[in-house]
Amino acid sequence: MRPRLAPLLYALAVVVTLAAFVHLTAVWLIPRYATRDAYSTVQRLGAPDATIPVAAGVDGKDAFPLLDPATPLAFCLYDLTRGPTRVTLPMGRPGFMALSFHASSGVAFFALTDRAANGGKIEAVLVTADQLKILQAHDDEDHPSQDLRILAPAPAGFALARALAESPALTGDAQAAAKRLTCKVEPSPG
Amino acid sequence: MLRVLLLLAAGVALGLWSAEAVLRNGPPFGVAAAGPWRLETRAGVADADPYTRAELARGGEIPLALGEGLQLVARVDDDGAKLDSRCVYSLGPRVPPARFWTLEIADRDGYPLDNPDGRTTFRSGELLRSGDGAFTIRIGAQVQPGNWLPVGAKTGFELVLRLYDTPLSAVGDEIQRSAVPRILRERCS
Repeated sequence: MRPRLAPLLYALAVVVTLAAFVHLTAVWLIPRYATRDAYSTVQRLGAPDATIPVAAGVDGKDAFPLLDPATPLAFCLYDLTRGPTRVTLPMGRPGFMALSFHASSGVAFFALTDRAANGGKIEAVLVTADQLKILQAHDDEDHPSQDLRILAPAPAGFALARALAESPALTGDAQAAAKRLTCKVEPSPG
Repeated sequence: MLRVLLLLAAGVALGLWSAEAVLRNGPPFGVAAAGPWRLETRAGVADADPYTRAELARGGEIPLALGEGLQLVARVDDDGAKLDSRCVYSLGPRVPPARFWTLEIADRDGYPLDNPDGRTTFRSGELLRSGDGAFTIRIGAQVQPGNWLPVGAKTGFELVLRLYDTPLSAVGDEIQRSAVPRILRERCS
């Protein structure tokens, strides 16, 4: 029995080791080659500098799974290789509104709600690490910038506005509020 | 030689199958469970783990960011049985604290489950409560008195509870069983 058992165990070890390697590689590669991920869909629907509403509802298939029909969305794409990008969501209505930032990898890396609104809007400037250094070098020490600067983990991604419709009758109102989102490349400093 | 090829093929197949199986059932890490509810705690943060990233990329979902709110998904009732549109369920008596919440009925892929009423979502503002703040939402195909969320197609479904602006923290925190609503099966037809 003994001589037959050793090759069997060896074969099992080979299969399990290979399976573990393939398993981890597959999990690691999926985000790189996915075509149905949120960022790929956003790219298909949108264009730079445009704000695109995302319709949620039962009419036809939604663009994304797990959208809340009670919170109309709008997004705009950003590309920080073109420069720091100012993302603005004017309030103009009471109720829950949120602005979130999503990297091309699909993760949400920052969010602000209407509680963080200042001067009737939620606003932030997305920057890369290099852009942040340049902006800080140009900052006036006596009049520091009032901008909220957010370091993006990757140069590409999208900003998402979410406006809650407290009742179905307010859906149109919430859609209009979400669509007021803008992404604008900032003029270079200095 | 053939034996070696067979071993390699078995290893690759096992690896792919296990990756698929794990992702189909949600990421193995960063999931907080409370009764029938599951919460992916790492979906809305910048340093999401590879499994959460792979699952997001595969599903195509835009996650709720940490700071916006939390999303809890239930595919089973309190007894662990799969949610079935032929049954009537009662959900209550309370939800974790949040400024606003919605309860959606979705198909297994996360898309709204169509029904003749065209109503797939219950909002906290529409809720009828008893004197002590407790409530019951009935979920079923037949019209129910009080709070009712209709079920359309004769399939399995999932319930999605979204808590907006909630003080409930997801990262590293266990959610208390008593904080989440119970899903009890009342009867089946």
